[in-house]
Amino acid sequence: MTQGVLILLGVYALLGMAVAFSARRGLGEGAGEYYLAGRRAGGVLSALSYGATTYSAFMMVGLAGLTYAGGVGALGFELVYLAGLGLVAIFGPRFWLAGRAHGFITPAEMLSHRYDSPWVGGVMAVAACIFLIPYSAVQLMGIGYLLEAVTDGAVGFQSGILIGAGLALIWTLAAGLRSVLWTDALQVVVMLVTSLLAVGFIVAALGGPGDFLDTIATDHGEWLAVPGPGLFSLTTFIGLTLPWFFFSISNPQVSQRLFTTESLGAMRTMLAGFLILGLVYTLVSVIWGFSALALLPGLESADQATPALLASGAIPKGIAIVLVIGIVAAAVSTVDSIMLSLSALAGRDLYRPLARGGRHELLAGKLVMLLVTGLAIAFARLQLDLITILSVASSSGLLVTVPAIVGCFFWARGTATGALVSIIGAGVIVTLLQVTGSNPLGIPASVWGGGLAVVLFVTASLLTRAPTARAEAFMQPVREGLARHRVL
Amino acid sequence: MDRPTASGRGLLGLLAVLIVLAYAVPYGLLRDIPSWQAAFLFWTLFGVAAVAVIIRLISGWRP
Repeated sequence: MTQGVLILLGVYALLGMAVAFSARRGLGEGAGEYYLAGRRAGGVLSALSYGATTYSAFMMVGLAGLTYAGGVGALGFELVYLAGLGLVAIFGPRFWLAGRAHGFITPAEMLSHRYDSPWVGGVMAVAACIFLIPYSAVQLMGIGYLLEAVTDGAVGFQSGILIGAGLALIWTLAAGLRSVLWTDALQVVVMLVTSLLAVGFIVAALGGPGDFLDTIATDHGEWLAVPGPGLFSLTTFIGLTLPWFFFSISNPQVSQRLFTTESLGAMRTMLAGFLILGLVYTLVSVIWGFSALALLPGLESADQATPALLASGAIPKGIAIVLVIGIVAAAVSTVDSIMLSLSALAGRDLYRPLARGGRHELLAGKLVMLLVTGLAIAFARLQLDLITILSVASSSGLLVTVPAIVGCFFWARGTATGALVSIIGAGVIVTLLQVTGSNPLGIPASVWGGGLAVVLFVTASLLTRAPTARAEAFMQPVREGLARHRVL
Repeated sequence: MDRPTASGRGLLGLLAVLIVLAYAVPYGLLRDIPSWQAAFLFWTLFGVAAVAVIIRLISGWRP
């Protein structure tokens, strides 16, 4: 198995390199070219890349583990996230129109402009770094653990981290979003095909679909019930789903994509394509988790479900090897998009307002990309509990930016103070609650964070003077575009 | 600051109802039923319906 993994890993890396460097052809000058692929991304490519960016190693490892531990609630959780993509139907065209009219590169820059304060974008950029660097580190840790386990230590944990980080960094630096889009497209195909193959073989090993369904219903019926064996109480379900429902507008590595498509038609293709891909990948990951439960019940840790299933011999070695590469691809394709987005945020929303004229913004962004990679590697190697907690807290942490994002388009009375107070105040509170593991009054931290962010945004905005002229100038081209494109 | 069209508003309302049902039905009507035909089937149908509504919602865009 070790030799097979190493050979396929090499093939995958070489293919990715070829794709990334061929994407350099046609790369123009400037931040818009580098970070947004010149706002010329096609619909199909964007759909594939959006899928690769959104779906990390979490799906076939984490979601499968959640299914193994908590049963069918994992399916509900992931599908509520998918329904949250309805937000892209509302905000996607608005981001796109505002981006074209005002030349925004990052969502944070859009907020800075709309609220007439560079502090808003700066704080948003810092928040993104605080939560997304640990999130990337955990992805790298996943690669490290998986490669170490399936190669019997031939590729050690530390080497696995460096391989993942190295690939993500090179594929991002090669041509910015252009190389990320193309390598993502390759990787999402690998992710989807390998997971479909693996699930097909595992269900066959269980005696076919009929026997698989019977085995689960007979031996593990509780896992098909809600709330199930205990993990998915209604409170936990709400606490998990709330931040993920808003993921598509709160996480910059995906919301930035709303600036990149060549037309609204391409955005429509991106959204529809991603929804179908997401539905399939979710069902596959959940069935994979149920299969682990049927074949290997009683594992000490649910996170071990996928590695244990791969090592169990229930599926052919060749299929197990390709699935390992599929999981590595899922992690790398998420990490490279996060690196690119954080680089853009740091260059555009932290460096540019401070540097006179914003010269060398792109260079600053690339240096930040190296720094982010270094930090992610360092955090992953340290294996600190705090990093894992911050990673888990990332979706709740970024949820606090949602009121300011919604207010940007739908509440002219919203102010910079409201945005700042809500992001900082609710962000600090939700992080403290997550780090200390407390749920006051039995209410999950994410619900506290989201609710507090709304209250703080509204209250502080009402107490301060609104930049109404700026809000009107910001919205006018958006309003005209919405009418022209018949968007609700 | 801007207003959705009537049909778009209807579809958005439908999506909102579906999302509420995604919580209410499995944790209410289908609670504690250990069968594939309960929460699993419901959530799968919910996913398909939500995707269909969103695609319908964006199909009216005029690029």
